[in-house]
Amino acid sequence: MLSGHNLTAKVGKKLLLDDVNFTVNPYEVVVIIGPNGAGKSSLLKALCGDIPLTTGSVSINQQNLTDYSLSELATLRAVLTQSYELDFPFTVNEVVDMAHVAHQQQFSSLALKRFSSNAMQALGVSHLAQQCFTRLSGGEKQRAQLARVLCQLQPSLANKKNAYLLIDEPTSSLDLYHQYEVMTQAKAIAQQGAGVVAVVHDLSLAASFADRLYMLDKGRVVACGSPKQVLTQARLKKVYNIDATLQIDTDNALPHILIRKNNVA
Amino acid sequence: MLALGSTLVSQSQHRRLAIPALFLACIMVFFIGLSKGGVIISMSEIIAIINHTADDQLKHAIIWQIRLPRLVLAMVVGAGLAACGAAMQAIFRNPLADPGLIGVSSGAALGAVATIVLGTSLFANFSDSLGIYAVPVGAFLGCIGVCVFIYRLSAHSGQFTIISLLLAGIAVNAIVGSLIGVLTLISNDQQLRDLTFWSMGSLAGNHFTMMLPTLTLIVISCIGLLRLAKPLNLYLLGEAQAKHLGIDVTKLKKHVFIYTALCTGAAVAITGIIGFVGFIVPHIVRLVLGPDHRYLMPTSMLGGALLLSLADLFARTVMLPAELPIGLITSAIGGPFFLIMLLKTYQRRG
Repeated sequence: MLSGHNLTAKVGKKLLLDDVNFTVNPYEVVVIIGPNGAGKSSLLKALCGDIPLTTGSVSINQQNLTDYSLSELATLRAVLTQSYELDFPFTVNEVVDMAHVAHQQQFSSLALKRFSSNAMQALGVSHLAQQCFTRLSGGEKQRAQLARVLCQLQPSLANKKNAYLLIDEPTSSLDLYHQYEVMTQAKAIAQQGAGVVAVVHDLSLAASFADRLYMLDKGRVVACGSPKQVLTQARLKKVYNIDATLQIDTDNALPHILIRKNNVA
Repeated sequence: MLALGSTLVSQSQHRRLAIPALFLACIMVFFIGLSKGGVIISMSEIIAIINHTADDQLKHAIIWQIRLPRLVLAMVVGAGLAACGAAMQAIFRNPLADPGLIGVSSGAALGAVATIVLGTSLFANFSDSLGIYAVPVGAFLGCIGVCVFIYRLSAHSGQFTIISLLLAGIAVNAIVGSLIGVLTLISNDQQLRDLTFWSMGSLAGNHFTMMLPTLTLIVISCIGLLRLAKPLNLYLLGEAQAKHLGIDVTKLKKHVFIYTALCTGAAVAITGIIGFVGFIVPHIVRLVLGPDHRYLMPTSMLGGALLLSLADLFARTVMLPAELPIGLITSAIGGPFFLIMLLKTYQRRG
């Protein structure tokens, strides 16, 4: 279990997170939603240990985050960030192989190579293996990076260790097809035993893939539960200031948010 | 990004061949360098001299006291400069970065110029007690002093971010530049000549005893940088990404900074400023072998050794008995190379 207890974080006087409690279990996809500036990315960063906390603590598998070394942590959780600064012409294969560093003590390089090729196959980027990462399209880059984080997690999952994948707005620069594809892949990774946490902007997308949702507003958790429990008309009005309803089980479609006409100014 | 969209044609093949090929080339240049010059010495004579079985005292002295130290220095300094260039380009995640950014060159120049100009007045004790070592020691101290200052400035908030390093580097370089200007202004004719030649670099006139500290520092730093090859690869993914893969990014940056400062400082102290080696060599190697530092680092070292020993061979043989400053040659190669890179990048972007 990856969990945060009473997380509070500040930048100067501004409260980024206000007493947030959070948990994610293996085999589960948890999506963090909320309007701009609600603290979604801050919560994810806090769970990664990337921002200092004023109070509270994060624990992975019942052990405090700060008690792990960076390299131990790398075997327990992988992070997919919004953007990649990679400007040097590594091949996709080399990018995926970078995940090996976390496991090179426990696994032979041959075994690690197998994890790489499995991960590339799972994400459908095997044919790009020898291509230059910098020349890929946005969707291909995203899939290649997902293959890298999958390759980072798989050795632990293969050893039946609980490992977690944290994803920060994986879909922000992607078209509709790739948005759904990335989330489908994230779900598939959860089915292999990982606990997945994703920050997602699009409520329909969140509702389609989340086992549980955390809705944040002004640094606080305002609701937590299944999409149906969280995305109520009243709450959407209050937090997002839109008049909208969640449509589930209609005509063989994924859940989606229906926004009423009268509301969009 | 400049010149990064390289082709990936048979990169793995190049990787296998690059190190042996460059190694062979270095050995060839080594022997050509021993044989060519004011006095031409044949291969058989060289072998006899190296085995101490020759009786020609003059040629013996030329090999052992002039050419061999000079070649060793050229190769080690070339390797060190190229390795530091590669490391800086990685740390700044920019193929245009070079060690000058962290104040190595300006610091060494300040130290050297101060010793040359003030050596007879203000630093008379320092100069007298060190003799011919005064300028190298002054340059090294200047380099380390300025680097420590920049390091402290950018590590101020415990973060050691690249942007603060860059800004501190630019500001301190500007200040140091103006100090050098003041010293140049008050120098006399002979001092002016000395400091001008220092700033153009030279590998001449060094004995093994004088070179030993430099060689040791460069070798240690090079080994250190080689060991950082894998973390540097991950670092190129992004700082946060590298950290998530288990790399202590702040420590990595600090180590690269320290090795680069020591290595370049040691090199510049004894040879003066030799530009562009640290820039072009990793660049060419990256174009051919790709950006993986496990290959880039060692290959750049060999490439730097080869380039600098070739450039020095050219510098001391092209207009005998006079000698060209080596910094002129490396810059004369580096400048046009840089322009071609720029033009190619613009063309590719249409």
